[in-house]
Amino acid sequence: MARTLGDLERKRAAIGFTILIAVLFAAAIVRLFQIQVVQTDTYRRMAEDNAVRLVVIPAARGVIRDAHGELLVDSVPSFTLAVDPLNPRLAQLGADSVLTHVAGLLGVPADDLIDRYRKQKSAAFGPVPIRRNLDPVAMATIEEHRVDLPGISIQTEPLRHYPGHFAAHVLGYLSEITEEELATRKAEGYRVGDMIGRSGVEKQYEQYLRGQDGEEYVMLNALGQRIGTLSDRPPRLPVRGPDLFLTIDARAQRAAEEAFPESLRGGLVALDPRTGRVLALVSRPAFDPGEFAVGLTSKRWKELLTDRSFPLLDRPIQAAYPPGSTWKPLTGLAALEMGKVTADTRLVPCGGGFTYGGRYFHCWFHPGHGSQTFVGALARSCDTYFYQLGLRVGIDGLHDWAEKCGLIGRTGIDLPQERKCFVPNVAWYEKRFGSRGWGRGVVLSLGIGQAEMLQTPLGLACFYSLLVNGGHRVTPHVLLKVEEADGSVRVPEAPSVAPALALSPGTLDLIKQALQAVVEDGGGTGGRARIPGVHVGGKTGTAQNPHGKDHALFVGCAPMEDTRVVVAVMVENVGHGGTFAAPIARKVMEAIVLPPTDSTATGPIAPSGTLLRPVAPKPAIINPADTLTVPSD
Amino acid sequence: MPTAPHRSVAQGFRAVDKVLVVSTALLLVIGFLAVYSATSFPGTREHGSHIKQLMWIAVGSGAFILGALFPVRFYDGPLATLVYIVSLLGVGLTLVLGRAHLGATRWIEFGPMHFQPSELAKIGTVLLLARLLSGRAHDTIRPKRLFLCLGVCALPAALVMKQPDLGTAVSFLALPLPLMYWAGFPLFGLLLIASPAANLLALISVRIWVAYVVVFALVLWNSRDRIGTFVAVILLVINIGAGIAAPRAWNHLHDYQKQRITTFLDPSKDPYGAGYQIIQSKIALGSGGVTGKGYLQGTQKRLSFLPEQHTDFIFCVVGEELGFVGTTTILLLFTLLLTNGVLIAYQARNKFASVVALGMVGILLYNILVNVWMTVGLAPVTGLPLPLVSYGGSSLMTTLFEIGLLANVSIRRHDY
Repeated sequence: MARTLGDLERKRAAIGFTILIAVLFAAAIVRLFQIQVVQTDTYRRMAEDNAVRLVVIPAARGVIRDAHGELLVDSVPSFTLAVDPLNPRLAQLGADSVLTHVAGLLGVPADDLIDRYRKQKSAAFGPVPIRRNLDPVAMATIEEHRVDLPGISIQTEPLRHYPGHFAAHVLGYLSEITEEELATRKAEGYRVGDMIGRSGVEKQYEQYLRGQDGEEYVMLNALGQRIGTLSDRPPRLPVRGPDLFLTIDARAQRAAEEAFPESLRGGLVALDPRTGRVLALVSRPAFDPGEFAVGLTSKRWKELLTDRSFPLLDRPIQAAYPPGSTWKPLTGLAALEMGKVTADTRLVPCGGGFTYGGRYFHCWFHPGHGSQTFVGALARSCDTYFYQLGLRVGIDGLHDWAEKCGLIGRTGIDLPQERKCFVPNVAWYEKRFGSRGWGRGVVLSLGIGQAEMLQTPLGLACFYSLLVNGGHRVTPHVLLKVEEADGSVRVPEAPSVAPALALSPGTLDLIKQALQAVVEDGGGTGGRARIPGVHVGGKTGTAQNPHGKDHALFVGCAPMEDTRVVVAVMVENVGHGGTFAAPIARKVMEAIVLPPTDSTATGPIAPSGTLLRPVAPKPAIINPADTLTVPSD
Repeated sequence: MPTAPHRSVAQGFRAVDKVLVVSTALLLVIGFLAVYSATSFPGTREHGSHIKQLMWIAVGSGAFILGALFPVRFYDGPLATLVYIVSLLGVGLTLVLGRAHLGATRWIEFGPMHFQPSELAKIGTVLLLARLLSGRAHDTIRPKRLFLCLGVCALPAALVMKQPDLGTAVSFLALPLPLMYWAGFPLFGLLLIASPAANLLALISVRIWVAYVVVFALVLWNSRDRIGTFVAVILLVINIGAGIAAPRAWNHLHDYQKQRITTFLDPSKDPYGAGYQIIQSKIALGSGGVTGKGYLQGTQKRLSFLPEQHTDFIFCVVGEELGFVGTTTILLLFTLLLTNGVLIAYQARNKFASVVALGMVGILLYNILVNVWMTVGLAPVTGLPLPLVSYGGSSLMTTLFEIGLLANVSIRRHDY
């Protein structure tokens, strides 16, 4: 053999190659030792992470019931389409193309899904919900194409079910948690896609209602399909939110919803004056909380926000208006207590107005009321009489008594975003307009509930409660009790009923007498609130406002002997309080003080949300005499 | 020592190297079991591939016998050139009508099997190299022969590169130097020839490269008497040229090739893209631990997190289910197979046969290491199967033919 290497060299070369081979394989073995022996725990964990996902079992949100246990809001199972951003195949294919495919199958715009996914995936630790409340056809379509849709899954979720527009503002609505909120509230256990209360009871008692999400570890394959659970890690079951019992009386609420036409704007609140419990609360126009539960499109959301009738505004507690003549009892109370008048004091007789500071202030009743005592003047809502009371009490006198009666600031109701009631004092005028910037004649307007003062319907209802309950300020509230899933009942510390104001004996009786006369006397302005067989009291109001027709107000109380309900009604831009607001208040009072008849019997709310038949706006029946009146009846 | 020119198969069987046959057979058995495990989970596309694998093993045994049957010396002649040319035509053919597969054209469909002519080209190249190197000693080390050898390897490398298949292309370039060394080419000269490759490694930073070039120039200056000034200058020019051209060549690589290399350097940069395979591969291996999760018990495998788990990533399946013990066993069997191959080359009296044997060892070593190192994250993802273990007919047939040639040399190790 023609060898160029000597035998020794050849042997060396062969040994060299052998060593080389051994070294090259040894490198692989050393590496394997490192991976399989040294770092095996790390990789084992990674392997579990690969296959095992922590899946949240969402807790059913607590249901909401009325005071008698009638179901107001329920949670029903629904199906949600979700995307797992950690799915490796999804990442390889590109989420956009998979979502476009899904959108094509569902017949929805791909951009909607992609937008939702993009917004949420960064904060997600698990599947991101991109479409809620799938119908069975959509579900079947998705399941059928499952293999082509890596990372897409259908999850069962409790869906909030509302009975239509019923008590929408009390209950409030939910929407998905935003990225910013997630950043700050993660510690509370919120996750991407969670629904969170945005208004009403849903917001106020979010912490109760949401319950406690459960967790389980499931094995997933590379397609994201669930293939089993881990036996050594038992699931933590979710704890459903407790049942919330509200003070709301479904029967009164239903009466109020029916009595208050959808076509109007305004608000209504009914209180139990003895406790401050809210029996009914209506705001018009209303919205459908169910729309939010399935996720609003951004277009619809914009529509709701920019709707000039502000359907999301809870008017009884979040809108404040000049109270008009419903204010007169406060002026009267202040005058009586300050000793400026007595029951029998007769002031300058009403000849259709009153001159002050060289200016003539009209009474709404141009022919004039003549000479009157306190009760007659309040019953007929004589402006001339109350101009004079205002003068005697003074701006600060009104302010101070308003403060004592709880007409300044918030009532403290357990609903979000309550608006403050406001009554100006001299200091405020000085600060606002300077000492020469305002006329002292403003006190006349303040005496009849006009000028710069603003009251929420709820504020007025609380004030009238005080008038009829013996002078106790009440704190209105909607939560009655909380019943946990295990049956234990928690009753929140009932907001205290304050000790009665120290009033002269007879003051409240006098005012109550007048309130009753408003409704029951022939000359009273509140005749439309009359209920046969029940002594009803109340006070009408017609508030001037710069934006169109007057606001109609009425605050009613029944029965006068032992008042169980105070209803404040406010209807925007319709006109006379006695004409438009009083009949609505009557329906609500009837529902509470009259025994239930068959037609108004309480029953479970129809699941379809058809509870509320649309009520045709009543033709405005306007007394020719009313049309001649100057506002502030 | 004269021997009978013709042996019976039975005689051959007795003479054949037992270590070679046994280690090969064991690896085939392990491979078959691994393929069965990798495709045993119902519902996967490849479910039931083990039946076909059995068929390929049968066919591959035929290739083994074919490799062992005719004396290697038969190839020492026009036949080597013929195999070389035919296989190169095959590679060219894949470029023309091969079917696109995984972003690269490497296959020719041939009945039920996808044939990869580049594998045959490796054998052809080794045969032709062996022929060029087994002539008389003084011919072998002449520069003309040297460049001829390099050219014989560069041509298929360039063709395969066009497919494009970086991993296989590099394997052609790795072939000539060890074989030339084995054939008696001075080690120092070979190192000089290898210098451009080292040069590329020095390109990590410009300063290191400049230092490398200076040192290299000094070495050349010292040894100019041994290799001649002309050759020294040429080598220096080639080195500097390689250093300057490399960044441009990098730009000529396909995106997926660049990505594979950058991802290899840092897989965590792209955990769901190209780095995904490397990470998943390590997870499967690492989670196996020392003794593995048990045969057929792999979860990563079962969950299909591993791509190509019955072909390119079969090693992971073994690693997951049989642990460090299983992977090490395979590697030791391969080491045994290849070191025994070196022994066969050493013992062969015929120089051509000896070079061919070492060439086969080289081919096998390269194919095994590229796959194993890829799986453990020591080399970029190249998409080459693990010889003898992975599912696939083309790989099995060529590998067993190569081992057949080794057996051939071992049977006739005393023949001149």
